[in-house]
Amino acid sequence: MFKNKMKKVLSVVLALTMVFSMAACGGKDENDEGKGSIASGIQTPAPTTAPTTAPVGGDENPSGGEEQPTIKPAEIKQAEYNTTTSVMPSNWNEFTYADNNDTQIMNYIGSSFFDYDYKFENDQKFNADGSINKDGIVPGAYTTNYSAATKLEDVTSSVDAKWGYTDAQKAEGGYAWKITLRDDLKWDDGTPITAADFEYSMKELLDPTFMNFRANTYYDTLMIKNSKAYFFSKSPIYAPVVPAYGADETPDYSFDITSNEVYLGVDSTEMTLAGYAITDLITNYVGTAEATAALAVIADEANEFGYTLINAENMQAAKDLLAYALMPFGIDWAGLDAETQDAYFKEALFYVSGYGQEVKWEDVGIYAIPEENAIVLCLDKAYSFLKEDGSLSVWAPYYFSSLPVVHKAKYEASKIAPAAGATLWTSNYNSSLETTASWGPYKLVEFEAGSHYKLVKNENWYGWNMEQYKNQYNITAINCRKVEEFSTKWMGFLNGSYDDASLQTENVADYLDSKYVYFTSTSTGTFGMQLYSDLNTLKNSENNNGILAIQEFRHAFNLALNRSDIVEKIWPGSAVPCFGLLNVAYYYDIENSPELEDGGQYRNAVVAKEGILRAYGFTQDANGKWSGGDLSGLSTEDAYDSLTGYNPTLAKQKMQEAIDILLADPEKYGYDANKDITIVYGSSSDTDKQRFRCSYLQEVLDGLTKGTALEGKIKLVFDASAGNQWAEAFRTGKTQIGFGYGFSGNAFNPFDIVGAFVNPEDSLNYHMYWDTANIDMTLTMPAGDYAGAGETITMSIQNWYYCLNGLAETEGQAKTYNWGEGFAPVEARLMILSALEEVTIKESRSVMLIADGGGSFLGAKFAYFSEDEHTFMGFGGLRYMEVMYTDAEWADFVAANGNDLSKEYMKSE
Amino acid sequence: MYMFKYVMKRLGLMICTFFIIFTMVYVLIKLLPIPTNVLPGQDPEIVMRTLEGRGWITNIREGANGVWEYDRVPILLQYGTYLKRIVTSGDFGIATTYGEYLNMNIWKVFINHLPPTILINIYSTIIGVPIGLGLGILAALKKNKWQDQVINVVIILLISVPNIVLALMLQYVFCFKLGWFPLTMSTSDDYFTWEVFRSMIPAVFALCLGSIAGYARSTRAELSEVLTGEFMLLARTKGLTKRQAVLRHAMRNSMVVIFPAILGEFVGVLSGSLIIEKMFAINGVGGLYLNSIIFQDYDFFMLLSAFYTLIGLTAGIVIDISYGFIDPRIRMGAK
Repeated sequence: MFKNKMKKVLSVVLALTMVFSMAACGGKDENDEGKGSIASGIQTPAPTTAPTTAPVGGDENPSGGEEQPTIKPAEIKQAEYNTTTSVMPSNWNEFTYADNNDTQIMNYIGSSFFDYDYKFENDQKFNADGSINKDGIVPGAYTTNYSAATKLEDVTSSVDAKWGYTDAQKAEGGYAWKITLRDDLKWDDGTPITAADFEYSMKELLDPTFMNFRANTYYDTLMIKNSKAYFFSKSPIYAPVVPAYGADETPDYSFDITSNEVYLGVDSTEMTLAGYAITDLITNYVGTAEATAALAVIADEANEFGYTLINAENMQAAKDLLAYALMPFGIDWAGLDAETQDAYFKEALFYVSGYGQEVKWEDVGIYAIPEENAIVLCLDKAYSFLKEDGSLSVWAPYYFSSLPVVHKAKYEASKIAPAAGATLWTSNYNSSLETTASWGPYKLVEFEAGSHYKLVKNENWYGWNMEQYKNQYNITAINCRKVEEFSTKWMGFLNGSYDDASLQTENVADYLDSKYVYFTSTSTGTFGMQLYSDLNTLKNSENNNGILAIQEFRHAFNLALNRSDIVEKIWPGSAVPCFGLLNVAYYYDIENSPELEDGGQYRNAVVAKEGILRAYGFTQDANGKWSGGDLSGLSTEDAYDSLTGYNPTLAKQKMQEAIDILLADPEKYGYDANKDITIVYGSSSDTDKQRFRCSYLQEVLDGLTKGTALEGKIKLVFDASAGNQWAEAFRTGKTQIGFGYGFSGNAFNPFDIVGAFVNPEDSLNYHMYWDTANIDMTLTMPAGDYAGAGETITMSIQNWYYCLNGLAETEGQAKTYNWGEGFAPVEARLMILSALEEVTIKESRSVMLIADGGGSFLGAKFAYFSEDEHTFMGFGGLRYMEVMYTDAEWADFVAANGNDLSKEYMKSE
Repeated sequence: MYMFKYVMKRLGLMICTFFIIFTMVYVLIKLLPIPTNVLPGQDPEIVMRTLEGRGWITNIREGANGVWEYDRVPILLQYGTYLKRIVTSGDFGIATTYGEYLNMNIWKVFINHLPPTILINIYSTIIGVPIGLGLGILAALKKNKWQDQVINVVIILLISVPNIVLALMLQYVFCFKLGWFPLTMSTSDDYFTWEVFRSMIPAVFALCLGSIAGYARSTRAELSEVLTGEFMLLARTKGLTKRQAVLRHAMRNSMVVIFPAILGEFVGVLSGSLIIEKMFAINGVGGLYLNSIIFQDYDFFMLLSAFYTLIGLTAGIVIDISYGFIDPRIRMGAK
């Protein structure tokens, strides 16, 4: 079932050589520096306000426009930045962009309402000479500031009654927000940008005749009132084939289901089954494996509205399912005559009776107040964009950095009417030089598909009028050249043609300690090996690989993987070993991170460490000391530090257990002892590196099965035929090993992203067949003043996940605790998250192996502002980047080094 | 007249062959599953409807197992529509899964990529043919002398070392170490400037070194044989100088074999070199064909298949006809 749920998270294939990939984002691959290598360590050029001039919660420069200069222009070198990409962007339209390749350009041509900045001691950002007070940076601290907006107000209590906020919501606040914009916002061609442009842009984004991909950020995440209804106002209405009828009425069975398209809605309660949904009946009243399997057959084919088209192929499956659903009513399907069966069947079906009612734009929760140059947003969800003292909270830039805005004239000119017979409009906005408009610090001046692009400073950017940007953005132009071949890129970096490069297998040995290499730890990318384990699919395949469905086998495979060795041989210099589902870049409390002992990082939380230890077989005694393998009496910290995830002895033991289970009941697993076990290794491309990874795993399995009944019987088969549909191939079981598959994103909400592992409804989940709705987990909640405090609660894993995110009631779960952010103490939420992680790791379907820890070079022409990586600012990004040599000086420097900077770049000091 | 008829007949056959291949490719492609780029969190229906909106596919519907289908009309009918679209509006379609060119008009993409490939090919031929022929002639005339031995060694080296190694060596030595040329081809659209030409030189040499060896080897072999012919003795006895005899008689005779090889290679290389183009970042057509297959971008694949089929067939005809111009004794089609 497809669930339209937006997360700031994208699934990523790590191991796949996605040189031309469309699908991946934030990819973890030897080629991923191609996705705009300038971005490594460089923040989106998000402007900020100097804390000294940013009044709390308020109006920094109410009129916008030119400010009185107080910061002295510093004598700072300027130069052009030359970089490369493996894949050129093709669509940097905010409405429809696809991946990190597209955001290469987007990062520079847009701006933000609010953003983050370093915190400087005594709020002294500038030195007397106008230069940035680099020494005054407060480590780890940050400020949140106004940029394109001048004021943010919570107007929940004062907006029109038509938005329907209750008194409680008005008292709570956080639902309606008014953003006042600067008066000097302009496009690069000088056209002014006003609040009305933001309203226009949102209307275009949500236009149901376009169905823009990125609209879900606003109707699912930000949850603008009525935006989803507006967006889907052309969606089909499903009506029962047999109209509702009273007890004394005669049902109308006249609908012809053979010549009309009909649907089965397994989650609908509108059919005449006493108000029960089929899913409910099967899950709660039937519960047999056969019935659940029958439900899955139909449910898996459902469209995004939850309805399954019934055709000749699945007609019988639908009837079988109905037969199970009728059991709780005491109806024996087999005992019914054909006519009665048909009648029941019709009563369960739906047809499309029409399309959604038009929602008026006026009813969508966004409108402009032209006279104030302000936008008002009315949301269905409360946000804490302001702190109690009225200043911007950490969430304002995170969730609400900007709203999409398009250049009206260019956008209108870029629209493409639907072709004959089609219904959707499309647009070519921001896909070429002519169709591109910028309101960011840079503008596009050259673009040639498959070749290069160039950005130069946008003289019409409002930021130049703001004091806090003075003496920053010293890169005069960004030249990006498409270079696919690593050797060419590398030689270009070494002879000074390009200003960045990535640390890869080819250069890591000589340059690992280079002072020009920066390692990033703020990437959320966490990757590993996915093992397909749905027994039904496995045993019906020809591969004889039902053993994958045995947890002990997967666990053995997991324990047999030496993560350090994997990093060394497969991702040297670009990753670090990782044992959890989430790496250190995830924060459970970013707001207070500088003050917290564990830095607010989930991975550093004690409960998270304990969960990981248990997952990898450590046990804790009554004194709180940990034992595992040969180690004992360890503190949590010591035990965690000793964790390698590699335990060949236990792996062998688990392997033998798995073999025993397999051989005890070979029929159950569809196992034929006379045949080899074939496991298909999925890849998006057929490259030497991918094949090496496959053979690496083959060696691991060979070692694992040595001396057992399966010695030499498990064969990995390399398959790259799915191409860029690798994820789909894995999810359907066509391939059974996905190596390097994982996730990134949503750094400040680990509670949500864990759904990609434990929630089968989550569209990002690789293991949707893992029916966590029917697997119980028991936890004792910590004491406190919240629902369920101190109780020992048993509910399904999925239910726990929904409760953790405050969605249990919305999702119709059996238990409806709301432990979403702010509704339960953080320790309770951390405990649930850790438990979910633990149970997932023990299952070994998702065997996480590495975390993004890539190293990248910044050439000697430039220097990052800070050597220390900052959660929000990275190393200072392009905005703060220091120019060490002007273009002319750089040419001389390179020439003086004989056009070969390799010795310079090998220096560690 | 015979020649004219022969050419017409060959052209007719070529067109027939082209259409058979084109149709076969189209039908086979249509039998493959639909390729779409559905991103995580993206609704496949919207992806399909967007493609439909852009006119790439028609009549979408969700089939069994949730797989979206399209064009539920007979393939030949689709083929008719496809041909009609090409003939009436020159519309070869848009890129649908080849991310870098997504939604772009593939004809324009193709045309934009063609000039660098053609230019490099022409330069490669202009440089490679004289050098190759020159070396071959010199080797033949100095057969078994030290010049011949040196040339033979060079030829063997150039033929036996893979193209990619030669390219890498050229790039490393001349572009990186010596800095005589840029590492990559200039991005300027003004192809006929010194800057662009200079940036092409390493790629041109990387491309033509193999050809030089091939030409030199063929020329040497052919010319050596011709030079020992009795008619050469006759030419000399008639009073021609050695130079005159070689240029007027020996060369022309040896060209019967060499010239078609040059033509064939010239036409063949029009398809671009994937490796050379990647290495020198040349925005040519070399990588397009392979990537259109990798990404299953069908319209792209059809256009490029048509192009390469046409190139191959044309090359065959041109080579056959060229025999008649080189050697007047050859008159194909005569009865």
